[in-house]
Amino acid sequence: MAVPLLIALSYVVIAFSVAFLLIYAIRHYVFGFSRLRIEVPKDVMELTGFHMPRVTVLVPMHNEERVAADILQALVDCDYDWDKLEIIPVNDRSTDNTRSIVDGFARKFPFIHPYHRTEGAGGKPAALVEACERAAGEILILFDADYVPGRAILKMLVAPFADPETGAVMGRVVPHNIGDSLLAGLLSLERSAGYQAARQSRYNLGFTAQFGGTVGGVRASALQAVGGWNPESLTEDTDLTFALLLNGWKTAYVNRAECFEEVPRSWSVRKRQLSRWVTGHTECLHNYWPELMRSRFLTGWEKLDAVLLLAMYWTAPMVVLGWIASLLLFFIPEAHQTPLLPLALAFLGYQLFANQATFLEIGAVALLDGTRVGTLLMPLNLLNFFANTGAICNALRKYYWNRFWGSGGDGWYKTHRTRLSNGGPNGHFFGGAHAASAAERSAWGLYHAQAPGD
Amino acid sequence: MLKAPKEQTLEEMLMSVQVEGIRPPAATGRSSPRNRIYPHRSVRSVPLTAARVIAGVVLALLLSSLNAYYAVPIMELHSIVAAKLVDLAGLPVTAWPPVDVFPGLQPGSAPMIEIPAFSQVSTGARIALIASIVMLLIAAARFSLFRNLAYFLIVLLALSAGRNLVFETFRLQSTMFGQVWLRQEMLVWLVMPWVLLLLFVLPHPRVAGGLGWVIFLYAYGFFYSAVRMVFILGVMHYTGLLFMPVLWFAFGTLSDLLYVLFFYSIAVNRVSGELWGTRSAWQSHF
Repeated sequence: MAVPLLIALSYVVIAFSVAFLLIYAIRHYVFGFSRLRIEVPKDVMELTGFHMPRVTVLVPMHNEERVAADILQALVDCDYDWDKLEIIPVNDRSTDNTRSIVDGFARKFPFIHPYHRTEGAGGKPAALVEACERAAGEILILFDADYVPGRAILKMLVAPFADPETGAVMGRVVPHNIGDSLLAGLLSLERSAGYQAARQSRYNLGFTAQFGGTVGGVRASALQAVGGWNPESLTEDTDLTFALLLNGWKTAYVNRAECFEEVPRSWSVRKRQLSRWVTGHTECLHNYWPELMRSRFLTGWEKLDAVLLLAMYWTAPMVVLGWIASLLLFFIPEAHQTPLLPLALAFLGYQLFANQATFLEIGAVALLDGTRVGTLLMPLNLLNFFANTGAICNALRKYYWNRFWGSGGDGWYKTHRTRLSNGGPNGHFFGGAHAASAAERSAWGLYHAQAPGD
Repeated sequence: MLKAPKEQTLEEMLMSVQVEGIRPPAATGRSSPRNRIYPHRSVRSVPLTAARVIAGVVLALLLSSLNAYYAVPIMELHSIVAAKLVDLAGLPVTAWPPVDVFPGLQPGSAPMIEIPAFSQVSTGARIALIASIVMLLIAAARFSLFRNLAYFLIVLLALSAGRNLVFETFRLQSTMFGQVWLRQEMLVWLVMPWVLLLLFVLPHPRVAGGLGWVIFLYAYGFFYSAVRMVFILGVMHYTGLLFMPVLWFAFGTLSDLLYVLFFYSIAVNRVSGELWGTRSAWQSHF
């Protein structure tokens, strides 16, 4: 009696797992094709330079002596009217030379107003809460300290705010250290698909273009209206996206506003980053899904997309459950004779094919970006898939254990970076193994602020 | 007299602008002038024409229908290819008896070869199992990205060893393996054309290129299936069922996923480099 029950249970689990994953596969196919074929993506670049409100740029920093000067110089070099620009480097209890670097810039440029935190709760969300109280800008733009903003990026990021319904805006994050390690190369593919395909498609289709907390901005009045940053959240950006959405604000995506970042090059760093994202996202899911379902601002499709976005990390345990059920069927000889076996195999096969959907997005982005670099790494994403699945399951296990038993849980963790500077003459971009040619450096000058000392 | 509208070239469909008159040298310093200026990648698209959709759907429909209609000859051909490979490998297959693959369908044939029980498995096979686990542990310790996959494979090996050790009666006939294999692959071949349509035909900027990939991959998938089946048979003949779960995992449907992905990455790599012309430094960070 127990064996037939086990077999039946395994089939139910496989069917449920496949059905759940199929929804995500269809979603990826829709996004991939939508981005690939829409001739004129939703774009607000015509407004660039015509809408120039007062802007405050916030740069959270914690022990950023290697990169602080570079990002501040890059922001100073941005082609935004200095009379309408305020830069607040948020020095969050740094113990290195960050403070003196920031103060040096503040003495030189009157529109740089440093905020030095010496006490209070740690982490970016807590620092942002306090820094935003000091911001005078109508629009708040955020950059992580190790990012490399180009000269026109501020104009591009504020352009969508010409629409009074726009509460937040997000730019495209582009990894620059694709050649650092296999993981960096794989993450670069993932990031490209996430921005060029998924975010742009969601924006085109009228869904929520998620605000990512850096290379993005938020309208100060909208932030205030939704109660500000959530200092308890591990993903304050996702939390803000949904708080805005529930209050009728839209989040815009500006694909043209590209900014370079460094993706984790080692798995230990990536694992902790992923763990924080999983915890923050899942917390948001539990906090917001009932309100999302009831929202009068959202259509049925928007609600579905929002919930799927927040529940995306559940796909990992679903995959594992499917595997366990399949293994059980494999080891039970009676199951081999069950007429349902072909059906189970078909489900399993289709589940594997459904996984191609994410690769369609990656391929679509490679076609659009016109880059051949890294595309041949696609099959190696299998390694990343297994690594991610394990890390996500572990993070969810910790999250739910903490949620139900009230112990443990992850704290805020700053992603470790390895770059020596943001692109100065001794930095990663122009030095060492990645040294660019004189022509590239010259060309870079058209696009990026002149590197200090150049 | 009415004039037929001029057909758009691919370059025109990609919204590029023809450069006329003075052509500045490319920013890379290379001597070849740029003939076209392409739109920034943030606003690019690859047009999806009706001709491409229709051609792709027709081909997928045709392949799936042929697979369903000629299921028996296809299975026979698969067995013939597998039999040749078995001969080449020198495996002692004694017969190819008929096996029922799907109800209502004429039977296919599956190889009959001895698969030893755990007690009959050679010492070498047992050492190979232990060595595999040790090697996976070493790899997991050295390559963090590989760790979870290695642990998964170790779990499969350990479960397999435990199952064989505890339940001596756990056996799998080679004919049953062949039966399950054919069931799985027949289903894969039914679904495959539609997956290939999505991955190769619709995103591919040239219709003929996309259709060519589909036909090539369909043929490749068929022959590769026979190769994998014979390889698993060979391993099972010498090591019993010790490696069966790992083999099933690595050479089953995952393998179908991987070869499609491998060729997809090549197809994308080839097309993406030519679609938007040779890029200069200012056009991309890569």
